[in-house]
Amino acid sequence: VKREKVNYQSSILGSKELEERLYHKDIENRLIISPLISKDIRDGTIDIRLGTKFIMTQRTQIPYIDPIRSESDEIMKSLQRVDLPIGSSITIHPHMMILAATLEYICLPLNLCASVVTRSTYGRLGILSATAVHVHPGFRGCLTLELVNFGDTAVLLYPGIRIAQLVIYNAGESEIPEKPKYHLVTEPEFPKLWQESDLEVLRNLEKRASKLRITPTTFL
Amino acid sequence: VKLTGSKSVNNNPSNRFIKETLHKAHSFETLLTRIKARTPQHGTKSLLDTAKAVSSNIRTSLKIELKANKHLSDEQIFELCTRRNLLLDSIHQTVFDVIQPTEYTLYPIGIIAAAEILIKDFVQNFALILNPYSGNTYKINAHPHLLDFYRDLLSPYIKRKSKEENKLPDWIVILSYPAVQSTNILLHTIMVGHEVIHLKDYVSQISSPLITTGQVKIVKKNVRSEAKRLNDMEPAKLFQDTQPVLSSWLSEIIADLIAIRTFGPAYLFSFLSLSIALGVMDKYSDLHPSSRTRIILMLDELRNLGYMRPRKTTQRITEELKYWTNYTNSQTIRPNGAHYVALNSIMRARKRIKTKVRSATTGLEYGIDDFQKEVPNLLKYLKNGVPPSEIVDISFRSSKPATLAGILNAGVYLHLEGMKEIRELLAVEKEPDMEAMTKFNELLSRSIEISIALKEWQKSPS
Repeated sequence: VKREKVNYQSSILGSKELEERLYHKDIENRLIISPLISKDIRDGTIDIRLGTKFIMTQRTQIPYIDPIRSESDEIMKSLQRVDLPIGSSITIHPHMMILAATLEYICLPLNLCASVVTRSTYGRLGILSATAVHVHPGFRGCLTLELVNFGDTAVLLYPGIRIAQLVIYNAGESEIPEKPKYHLVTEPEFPKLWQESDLEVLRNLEKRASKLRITPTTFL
Repeated sequence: VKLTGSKSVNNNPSNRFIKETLHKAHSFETLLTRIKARTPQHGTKSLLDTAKAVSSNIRTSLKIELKANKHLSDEQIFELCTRRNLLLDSIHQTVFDVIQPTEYTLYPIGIIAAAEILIKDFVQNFALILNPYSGNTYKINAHPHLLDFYRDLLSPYIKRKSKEENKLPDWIVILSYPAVQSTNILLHTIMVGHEVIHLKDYVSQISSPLITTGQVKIVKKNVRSEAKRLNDMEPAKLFQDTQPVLSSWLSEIIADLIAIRTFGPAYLFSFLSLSIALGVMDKYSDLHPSSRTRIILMLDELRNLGYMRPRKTTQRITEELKYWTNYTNSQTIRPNGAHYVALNSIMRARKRIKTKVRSATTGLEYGIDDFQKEVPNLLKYLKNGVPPSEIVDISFRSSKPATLAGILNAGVYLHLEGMKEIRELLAVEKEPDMEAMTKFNELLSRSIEISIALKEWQKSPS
């Protein structure tokens, strides 16, 4: 991928710069947000919309999820995928969490990064839309929003509503990956706990600790 | 018959059908894993595990057989693929006859919206159902005025329609497709292109007026000569047998030709995939003429739309069309009896059929100029791992949603080229071809959804 020379000062892109990047002549250096509805760019931010694909948690016989021992089957049992066409709605109850993909497919060139912020309109209803807020340079895909209702009233969510905002920054040099691997995500993904890199180490540490654990019988 | 050109080497038709067969099995196994995660019954879980093992064996056996026989002709490779596809269809049927389709990936929602828009063109008040089922073909069933039909049976002992009953849709339209192919977006061109046209044909009476007195005369002449050839065949019986075959074949051909005119090469390549998977290239049935016959007629329409003229941006398509022209001309199997009479009568009425189809698709064609305006731009996006949902105009700083035909043709083009770019972007080590095909379908599905959403937003006055 050709990398365009930029001034590596981490700064927020204003509306004018955003437009420049959105219509950049070179596709590899273009900031792509699709669909881009022109009125969604304002005050240096881009509104992003709720998509049509969701993952909802559900009650199962599984007592808990153990992050260092969970198998993919177990996690899939406790989560359920839901697809909703535009025009329908989903209810988020108090203290419920839903994973949702954005309607927009986002493509950040290697010299831009972004962060996702809840729109205050929904924040005031108690809906927070993102916990993993940083989007790294070179990301290609739909963002996964972790929607949580912290309010006391259930809220209906419609695919297509402007739920969050994207703030775009120039990426600092250290943030740029050498060999980006793209996942081209189009829907929210199940948490891949079983693919965590240091699982073996954590399991060994846990095993050792359980052997050393002092129980009341030690004193008898 | 071989394709030429460097890009063709790794992804000639036979290699492509091998990949398609392997991917069908791969998708089936993914689907079974997903269904198993939410199946409570122990017996069902065992069935799913068994089916997964069968599918995996089908995949492995194809790879081993190909390795053992390195110098097979394209025809022989197609046959190997057909055999594996039919085995997959059989185990797929065993599973989906028992299991309720609850898995979300079985319903491509972008396709629902696209099909609704196409149907709205000729039927206003309808409800559409997508039905992933255990069979291996695409079907459309439409029930007009279902409530009125039953009310007529109950008449006169019936009350006036209630307010709620008056709100019910006039038509219930059911589009059925093989559950195992739910995520194969390019194959769904058959559903939105061909099956939906059957309904249009029924509503707008396109194929039935083609059976005129003149046409009947031709049929009778063909009946006499065929009955004479077959010795023991009674001409009156043969004429009687031919009528339903002719009307059914005409409606199939009309649907094919309208689909090819409105969706361009995308329809032909989907049709080819399905024909080879089902092994019906040279099979005639009372409902369908052989695929070879249908392809010959479709290639004629593509020639009329300008796709046979070599151009830089459509080089790959032109090469492929040449290949399939040679392929269809290389051998023909003569059908017998009613099938022969129907085929001969249709071939003699070709000119009238074409005129009818062209008048039915005026203004809706996806010709070479539309292709050139749209597809290269969309292809650039797709190759960069972006859903090809809109065409961005850099100089005017604006964008417009891509057409459904444009998205499907961009998809077909990349599929013909072998999806090298998507494989490189994903950079996965395990089964890169399968992963690339899965991702490719996800991107296409997403782009259909986005382009429809964008159209809605651009229509809105605010």
